[in-house]
Amino acid sequence: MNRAPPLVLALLALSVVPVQGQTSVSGVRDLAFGALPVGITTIILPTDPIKSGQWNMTSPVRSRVFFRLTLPSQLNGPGGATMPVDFRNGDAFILEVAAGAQPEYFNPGGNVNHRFTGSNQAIIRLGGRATPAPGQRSGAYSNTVVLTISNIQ
Amino acid sequence: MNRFMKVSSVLALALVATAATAQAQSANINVTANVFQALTVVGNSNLDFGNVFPGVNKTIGVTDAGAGKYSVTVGQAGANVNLSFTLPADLVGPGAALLPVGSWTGHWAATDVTSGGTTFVPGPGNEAATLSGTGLLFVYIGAQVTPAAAQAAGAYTAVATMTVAYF
Amino acid sequence: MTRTPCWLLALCLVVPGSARAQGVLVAPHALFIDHQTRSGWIQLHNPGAEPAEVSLSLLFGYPVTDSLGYLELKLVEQPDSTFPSAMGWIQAFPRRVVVPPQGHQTIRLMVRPPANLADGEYWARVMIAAKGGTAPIQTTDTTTGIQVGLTLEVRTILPLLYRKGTLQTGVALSQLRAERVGDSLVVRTRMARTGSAVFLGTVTAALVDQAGAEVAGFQAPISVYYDIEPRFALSMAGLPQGGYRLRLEVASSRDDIAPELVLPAATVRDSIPIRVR
Repeated sequence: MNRAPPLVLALLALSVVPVQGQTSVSGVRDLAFGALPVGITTIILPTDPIKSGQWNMTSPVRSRVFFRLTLPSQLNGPGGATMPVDFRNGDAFILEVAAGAQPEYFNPGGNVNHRFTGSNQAIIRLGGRATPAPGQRSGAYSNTVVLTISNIQ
Repeated sequence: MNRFMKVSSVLALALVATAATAQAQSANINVTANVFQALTVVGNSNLDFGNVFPGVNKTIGVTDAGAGKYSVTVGQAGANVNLSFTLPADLVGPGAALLPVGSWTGHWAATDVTSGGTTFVPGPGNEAATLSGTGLLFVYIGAQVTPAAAQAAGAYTAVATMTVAYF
Repeated sequence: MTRTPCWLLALCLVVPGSARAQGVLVAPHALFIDHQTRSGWIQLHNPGAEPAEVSLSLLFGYPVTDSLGYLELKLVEQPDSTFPSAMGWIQAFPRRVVVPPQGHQTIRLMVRPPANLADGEYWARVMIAAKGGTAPIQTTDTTTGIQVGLTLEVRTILPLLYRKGTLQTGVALSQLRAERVGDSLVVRTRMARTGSAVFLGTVTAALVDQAGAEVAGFQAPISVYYDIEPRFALSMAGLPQGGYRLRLEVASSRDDIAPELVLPAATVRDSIPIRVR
């Protein structure tokens, strides 16, 4: 009996499991709170077209993508100063790039999964809130949010 | 194993290995903010004389319940500010009747108290004040009204302005 | 003979602040505009429960010290060419606005300097006046139902620095001295500004005993436009008699201003012996 060559078997295996290399994500815009007066809470909604953070994700239609956000608890500023930053349920959504698509809001602190149904492209938006405390040192603050795709099915 | 089988085995292993290493993908964005200090001046409560009788002077001191109160907040401990006041000489009532007001008194402190701080006479001149270690300043003012014996009945009003200058 | 009715006059002299708090939050508290951008902004926030009518005007002035060392703002109505005034170049949009309760408003500042402006730093002062709504005052007039409307106003004056080109700044200390006033040590020193720009920094003082331990001190922000002789005070309550040393340091750093906006300068120090009797 002839055995199928390993190459053929490998190709078959890869065709059953969606090719993970076809799912990609890129960060396209920072979550930019802008100018924060001390003592005032500033809230950026994920719908903010300029200030909200955004990633673009591409994945085959009918694929289900699991991902999570690694969120900072504080922003780092001048001279070692830190400022708390807060993310709450509903501060993020994923929206497929397709006519009639609706945003799916999620808790940015949890694990997320999304099945691509109408498109192979989606945007992920993140908002948040910050309140510089009295005596907060003036200057520029920053930190990083990482979106990690943990599994693709 | 013939050569074709060897090559295909290597390729298969490579493909599977490539797929296996593509388990996790990630992308970063930054969260940015620019913090600015703010200066807040609030008029917390009126200088309220309540009921006044014709021919009877009435004084509200800085420690009285009707004293006027301002608060100043700057996010810099120990900051120096200047206070100055534009104060009326008269309150204006019905039929443009005038009710003299004067003998202004003032008190400022880094905590919300009406004694133990610095007393001053509010006026157009600069009163130098220093904010607390938490960037706070509280200012109280009082005055005296001197209604005439035939002072017309009605309500009398005026406007007083406090200016805070930050260096 | 009938007695003259005893008329009750219910008065409320309104100083800025109605029965409810009325004021405005202004940020930033110091404005820096660069010649390359020629624009800036001010953010207003109304913390009150009533709308606030806010207007903006421009002045020229700078801090000076009086004979006792207290800082005061010297305003110059019509600064001549000997003053580095930017007052006449600045336009604000809008200049008058009503900020709703708990609302905010951004005011844009545009600067049109003269052509061929020399490198340097130019100053102005921005005055923001906030006027609250009228508030009814309860009266006990027995013959008429009188309602009283009150106008409340607070004003805030902020520094504005317009910068062109490469700037340098610094401060030189001299005449450091101190005297005991009650339970306080009042410290004075002359600060002479060097360079072409305002010195923005922080004064730190420490009173140390003969073992080198700090027993009292203070820290305060300072802005040196022209030469000044400011006073500072630190508590001497409870200090035992003996010899001490007062150390004064002035550094070009500020916690309330972003570091990139504070021009660097060499830190200067001075010290004098103090004897507590």
